[in-house]
Amino acid sequence: MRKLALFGNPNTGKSSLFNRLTGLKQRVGNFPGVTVDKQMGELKTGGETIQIIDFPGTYSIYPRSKDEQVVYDVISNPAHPDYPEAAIVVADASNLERNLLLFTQIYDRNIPTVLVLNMTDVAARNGLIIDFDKLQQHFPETTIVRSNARIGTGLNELIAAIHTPKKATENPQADTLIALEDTARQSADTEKRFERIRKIVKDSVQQKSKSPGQLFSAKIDRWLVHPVFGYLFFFALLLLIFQSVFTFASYPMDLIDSGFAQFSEFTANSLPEGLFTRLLTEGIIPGIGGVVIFIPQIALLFFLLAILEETGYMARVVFIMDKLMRPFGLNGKSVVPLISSAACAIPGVMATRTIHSRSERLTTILVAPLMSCSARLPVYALLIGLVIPDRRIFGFFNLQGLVLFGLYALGLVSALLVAMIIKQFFKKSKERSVFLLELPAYKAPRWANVGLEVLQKVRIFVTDAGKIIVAISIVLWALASFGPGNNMDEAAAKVPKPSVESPEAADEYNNRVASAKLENSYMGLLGKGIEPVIRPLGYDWKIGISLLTSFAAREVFVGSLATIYSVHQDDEITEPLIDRLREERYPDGRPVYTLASGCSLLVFYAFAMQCMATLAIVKRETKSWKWPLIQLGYMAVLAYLGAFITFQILS
Amino acid sequence: MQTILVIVLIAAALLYLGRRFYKTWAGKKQKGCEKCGISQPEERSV
Repeated sequence: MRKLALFGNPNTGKSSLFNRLTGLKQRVGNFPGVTVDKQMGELKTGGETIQIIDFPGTYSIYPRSKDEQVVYDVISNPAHPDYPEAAIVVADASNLERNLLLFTQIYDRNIPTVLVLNMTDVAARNGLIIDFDKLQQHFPETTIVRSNARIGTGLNELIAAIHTPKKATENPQADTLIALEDTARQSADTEKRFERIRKIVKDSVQQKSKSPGQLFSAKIDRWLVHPVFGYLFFFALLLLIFQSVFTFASYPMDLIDSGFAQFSEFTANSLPEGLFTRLLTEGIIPGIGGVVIFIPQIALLFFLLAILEETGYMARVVFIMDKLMRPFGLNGKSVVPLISSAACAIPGVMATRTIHSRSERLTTILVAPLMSCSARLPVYALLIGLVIPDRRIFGFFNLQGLVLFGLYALGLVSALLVAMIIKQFFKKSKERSVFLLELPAYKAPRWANVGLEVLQKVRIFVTDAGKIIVAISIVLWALASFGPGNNMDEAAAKVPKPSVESPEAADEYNNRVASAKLENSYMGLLGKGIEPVIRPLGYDWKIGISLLTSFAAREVFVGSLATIYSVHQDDEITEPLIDRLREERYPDGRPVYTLASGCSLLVFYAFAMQCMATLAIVKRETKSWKWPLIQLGYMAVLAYLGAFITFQILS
Repeated sequence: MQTILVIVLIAAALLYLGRRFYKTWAGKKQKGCEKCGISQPEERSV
């Protein structure tokens, strides 16, 4: 079977073309010796079956990451099992200058090559007129095919070209593939190639006029990527987003809250009394309800962020953040992983694969989880709603929104400062990092994409995070409902009966019985065991239990609190969690949740690792236990000290 | 009957959490975050 390689820059439509050519006949393997996915497929044409291998997208044959190195390894070694008999190089026709670098590097290797000029519609929209005959004259030994992989045009011409690719004549440059370590010669070679490419592009591409979209984008960008106004606009926009999250989400949250309260009451009244009914009404329903209530805030945040992404503004954010991060010693390529971590640290850590320098990659991995991820939002929302007053500052700023903005800013600032400190422990990298960024033209958001993004996030949050929360709620309920021997009943019996008969006295008595039972349950014993460690931070043992259970995932904290405060509280299952927390008192009557303890918890969650999946990914990416353990350790110290200082200052 | 149901549910919850723990640390391949649904490294036009 003939082997054909598919190369190209990232975002050129290479994968769309691969899908068009191979249809459903695809499988995924690994390139020998590395853990880089190898996408393979088969094309049946003219009675022949051709195997097509889709290589990772790269700007140059000289790699900047492990993924990209696969292209170099294969092309530099004709004995490699994946060495192709012919190659297809997919190029973005709207940016030929950048795309032709990789093409010329492969063309010069004497591999029969087909050049696919994809996205010709975008090039035409941008006012580019490409003279294909002239371009062909510059590369006589290749077949140039025009295509639009998105809608499938040019596919027949490409298949014909694949069938009989032009045979490259012997090229004296074929032996000039430069060693990986010789970066100086690589740079010189790249410069020389770009000089040649610029002449070719000047000869064969004509810029008619800039499109209205490009002109509009250039005008707006004068302000949005401005060294001063760019940041002001970005921070003002963030502030507006966080204000909206608190202001507009409150209406659906109230609806969900009352819905769950009614459902809990209905379940308690409809089912016969017994353990299972108690598990449902005290464990599972409050556990799920405690988290589902925050869906409007999460959906609203993702909705607003998806709009920023769709309009093309997020690329500008990456651009201005690059300038902000460099003084802190972070690689320009750290920007994307860190910004990704604001949604979730896991793709952020995985995105560091593009960082070539090991020390800079490790630094980025170690600080990425400090960025405030979406799993922190339910915790922040609950605690802010609990201890920060809902009032206006300067007439229009909502204080709760300001605090949420402050927590996200705290995540970014601490990531930058910690990166600066970590860099001191690594040898200084001599490599100068190059960060290439293409700013797309602004466009109106595609509402279907925005809607789908929000729906998908919410669906997975409810189903997948929901499963963990339900499981933990069940275990917590069991730990809180049972205790060793008859300890719980004996403790309840020791509570003195009220001397006067009144509803208030009966309520007081019931609360004390519930509290005595809970304290003597397995969970109470465990909580009391860890209480001395967390007391200096202003937490009681119930918060301690929630901290322990949320080690697996931060958002479990809210569900755990909801379950803990429901067990044995027969009369109060219909009361919203936030009200139950406000009423929680120490035995001496002091409230448990004060401004000091609430802010201490907020700071704790801003810094603490509390995500097992991230630790597992860090272990996988660094192939060592050392780095996840260091990360867990430094973040735990930071969280404990931060929470301790906050509590001591505010109390 | 209710007691049996509760015991089964507690056992299932413990089993599920144990399986999740095993899959996180010893699973062959984890493509992304299973909780928030972000399954690929973020790809932007950069």
